[in-house]
Amino acid sequence: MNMHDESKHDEYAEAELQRCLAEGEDLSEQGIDVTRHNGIVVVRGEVESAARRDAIMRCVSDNFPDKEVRCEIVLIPVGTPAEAEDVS
Amino acid sequence: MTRIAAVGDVHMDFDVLGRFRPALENLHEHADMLLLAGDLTRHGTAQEARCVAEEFGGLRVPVIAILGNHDYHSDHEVTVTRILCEAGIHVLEGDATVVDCQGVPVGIAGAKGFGGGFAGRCASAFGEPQMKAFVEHTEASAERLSRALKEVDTECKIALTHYSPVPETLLGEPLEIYPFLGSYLLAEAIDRGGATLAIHGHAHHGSPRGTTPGGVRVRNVAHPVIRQAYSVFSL
Repeated sequence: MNMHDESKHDEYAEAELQRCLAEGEDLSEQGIDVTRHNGIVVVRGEVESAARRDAIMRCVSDNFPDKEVRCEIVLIPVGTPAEAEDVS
Repeated sequence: MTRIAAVGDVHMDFDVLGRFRPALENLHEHADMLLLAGDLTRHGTAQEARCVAEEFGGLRVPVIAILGNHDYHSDHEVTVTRILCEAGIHVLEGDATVVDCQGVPVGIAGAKGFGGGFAGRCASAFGEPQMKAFVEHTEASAERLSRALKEVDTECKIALTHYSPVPETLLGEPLEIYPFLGSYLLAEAIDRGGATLAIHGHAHHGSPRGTTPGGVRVRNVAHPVIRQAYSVFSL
């Protein structure tokens, strides 16, 4: 496979992954960023639970079985707000 | 002073159950009501709706919600609405309710809204039937919101939508997907209906603050944007 073919293939694979994340029965994730740095697939986003993070990472690894995949997904905080915003 | 708590896009299921509840137990000390700006579930299933009911039901303040696109995914939005209502959560769609906030009546008008984009770069009801249906869905939702706002007879009126009425609260999202995140028709409805404040969710990578062309403050309360259990606005 030459460079042109490989990059075309990667683009399709990324599109398929994004659809898999959005349409996968247990996922419905539409806000996950997947980028590549020096051959490593980096997955970034914010989710509501550790179980969701793990499900996303499984999906990404399944779509890029031969690549190193790095997880940079974090849980969204659920603390009480420090103060109210005055919108009067 | 009226204090409005709001959050959207909590995407409940068993794996999230209990995460919000500790911050909600003392909500009545910080706010007079809680608004839920849609995407309460992940896929719009009955099981997920029961998780929403357990997490956000039984609070010591009124809870008013609208549904979001995720809540429609399984085509069970009627069941989702019924489960939330049974838990005491008032679900709006093209209608309004009035909440008594320490003697001050506050009207809440809600509608999911839809996409289409913003002035100058928006979809038109033209061409294929699917395109017309897309735009007409937004037009109908905006019309229901405007009517609900006009019908509520209170000095203070809050517009609650899932989709965004303005592009300002989408800053941070890719420009390419703006038409799927909101519509100027919602802002027009909010201005026409005389709202005091507009609350929405949906745009996880968006920005917290915006203003309609008519000067109504708009707040994006999607959970990934506010990064806390809820935000509080004092009016």
